[in-house]
Amino acid sequence: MMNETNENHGSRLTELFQSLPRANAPDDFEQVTQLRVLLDQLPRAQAPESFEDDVLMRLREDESSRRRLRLRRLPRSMRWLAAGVGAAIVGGVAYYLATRTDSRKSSTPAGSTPPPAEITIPLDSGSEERLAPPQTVPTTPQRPPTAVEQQSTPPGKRITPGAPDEND
Amino acid sequence: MGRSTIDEQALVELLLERKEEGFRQLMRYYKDDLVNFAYRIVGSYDDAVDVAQETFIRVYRFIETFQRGARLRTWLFAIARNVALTMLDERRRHRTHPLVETDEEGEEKERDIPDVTYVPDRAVDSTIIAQRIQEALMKLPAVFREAVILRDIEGLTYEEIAEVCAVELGTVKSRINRGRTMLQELLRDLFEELYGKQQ
Repeated sequence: MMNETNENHGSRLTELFQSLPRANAPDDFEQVTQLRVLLDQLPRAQAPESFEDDVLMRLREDESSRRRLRLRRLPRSMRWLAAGVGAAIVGGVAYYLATRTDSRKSSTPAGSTPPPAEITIPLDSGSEERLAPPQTVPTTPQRPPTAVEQQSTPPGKRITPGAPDEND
Repeated sequence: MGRSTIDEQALVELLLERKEEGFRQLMRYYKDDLVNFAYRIVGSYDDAVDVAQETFIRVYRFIETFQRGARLRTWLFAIARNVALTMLDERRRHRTHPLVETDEEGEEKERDIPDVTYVPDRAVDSTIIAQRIQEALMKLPAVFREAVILRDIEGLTYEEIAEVCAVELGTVKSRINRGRTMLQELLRDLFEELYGKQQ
């Protein structure tokens, strides 16, 4: 029973397969195959022995040139920055000098001579007295100091009233 | 191809870490395929080596853009193809003035001029047959040439070629068929010499 069933199935399957449409080779099948055979037989170009080292060398060169390029680009931005900072410094210094000169000019009118320094004159009274600059036109003529006075009191020497003289 | 398989994922990891060993491994595995592919496209051995070198340099530079899960092999071929086509463009620009023709709709299109001034590289194609085949290949427009080379010489699948050339699968099939037909026509004499007159 089992064998009969199997045989039936087998013959049906064969019929089914035979009824399938046949796929035929295209007209140019042979030519295409010949062409592919020819192409397949072409010698293969091979990379030279130094290929890998050459690539690595080119890569290194490429890397270093890129680094150089980066460095070249960096100073350009840095140059602008430095120029800005420099200009600011120069400007600042110029402004400082200008304002300093102005303040000087405002305290000393143009063309006038600077005021004379304060003069300390030794006095008989023993106390230092700060005098204003001498007036060009004195109201009363002053008596010139005597020779004795000039000898006893050298210029700049302080005289304390009542105190004994060092020379005594 | 009769060579050991490569763990692409592990290799990509090495490349991403910019390990020299990974890079050397990649070159060792693919350099000959790329040189051969480039040679068949540009027709000069020196230029082909240059194309392959440039391809690996670009891989090193742009490995971060490689999508994990993609096929490294197709990515490499895609880069090599671009480099080679750029080289052909430059070569053509230096040799001839671009010819412009007007199509039926009145639009101007640059003509794809086959390289007819090609001189075969005898160092690679030492036999007359090989030289004649390479000469014929160089006469094909670039889109058909690359399709035929990738399929019949490099053995890429249609899907891989579609990926490399960034075109639809149908376009790949039609380009391969047209390329083969054109090549047969160009090699008619050779076929007759080799296989006798055919119907």
